Amino acid sequence: MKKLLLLLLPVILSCSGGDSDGIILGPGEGTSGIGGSTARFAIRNGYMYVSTNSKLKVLDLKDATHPNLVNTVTTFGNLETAVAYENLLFLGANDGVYIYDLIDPVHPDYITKFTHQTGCDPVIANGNVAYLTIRDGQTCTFRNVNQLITIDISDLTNPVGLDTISMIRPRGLSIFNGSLYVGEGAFGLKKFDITTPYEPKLDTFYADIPANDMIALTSEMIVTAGSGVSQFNLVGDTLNQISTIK
Amino acid sequence: MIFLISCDPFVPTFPNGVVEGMRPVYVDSVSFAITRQESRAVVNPGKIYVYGNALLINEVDEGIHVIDNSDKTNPKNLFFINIPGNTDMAVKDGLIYANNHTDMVVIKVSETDFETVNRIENLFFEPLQTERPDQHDVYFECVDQSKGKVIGWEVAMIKAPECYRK
Repeated sequence: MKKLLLLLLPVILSCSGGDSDGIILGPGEGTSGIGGSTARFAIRNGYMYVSTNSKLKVLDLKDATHPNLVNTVTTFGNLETAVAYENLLFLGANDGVYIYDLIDPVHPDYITKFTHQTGCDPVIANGNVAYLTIRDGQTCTFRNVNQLITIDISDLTNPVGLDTISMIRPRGLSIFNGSLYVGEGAFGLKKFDITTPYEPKLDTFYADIPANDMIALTSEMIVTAGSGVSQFNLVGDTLNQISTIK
Repeated sequence: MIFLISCDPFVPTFPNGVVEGMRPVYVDSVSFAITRQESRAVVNPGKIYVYGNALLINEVDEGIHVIDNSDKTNPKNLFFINIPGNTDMAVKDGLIYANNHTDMVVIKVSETDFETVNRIENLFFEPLQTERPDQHDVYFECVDQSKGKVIGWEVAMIKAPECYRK
């Protein structure tokens, strides 16, 4: 089986609600929020993980206004993203994904690396399956590869590629109301049926909704594009635009 | 001839003419300043972040739009936090952690205003990167601290370089 690629980024929390009631930005809620899909920081259990060029920095947020640098780990490659998922930390680099366990949160422990030839775009994990997009482009790769890849991650030390779908220029991903949405940048937004998680099936191609990245809330999805940020709900099974921030 | 720590003992031939090399990108302290602006149009949105009923939208390299998103059919653009060089953010307990060029800043924010409560210098940069480029076998323009803070390196045609990284 071919060694597999994986680039895990932060839309991971996309199924959980981010639209709780209450005062906006009020302190003392003890919660962190939901990020989009290409963050360089990940916050988990009171620690922040920051990827810089070739270093992973761990900051203790016990005193939240004074993050305290408690560890600097030398990594490999040129890091682009840091994503915490359960007890794992995924560092996306330009040559693959480095996975650390966070059982000891101050001392991330290197588990493995998934090599890929190309690297730019996000992945979301959904139980035992991860969805990854790779796209070409000047800052990503010179190869002409644009794909949505489904990966079995039930055994992290041996991720297995299950399915590959050709895409136009795929970017961020999100799971909203049980379906997988993949942004195609200026080309639109694709909805995939993942009733069979290992085998996403194209359900709808919204060519009129440009999408770089998405955050799914409980009943709405926020979509960013080059032109602005829009919000959608569902009418039946169909995305319905409810607002635009320009 | 100026030798920085970053100049390797190996001494290459230093040309007098123009050669391709690396040049530091400087930012002066004024350009690090975080200021408040009235709400403004979203022109080049980058990363977004949801926290409670707030939606934060990064304006690439410029700062963060703070949006009251309690009514998702009618989000209200509250104000703009001008953070030069900003591309990334995370929020916890009402504090925004954001990059300000190569620094991290901690910003306490409410519905109406914000306050910068901390700055961690060079968190997104390695100390040596303020002295020399990451690349090897390159000529580079020696760092001149009086020009500001180094936040990056760019490929450039440079004249009579006096520094080289083996």
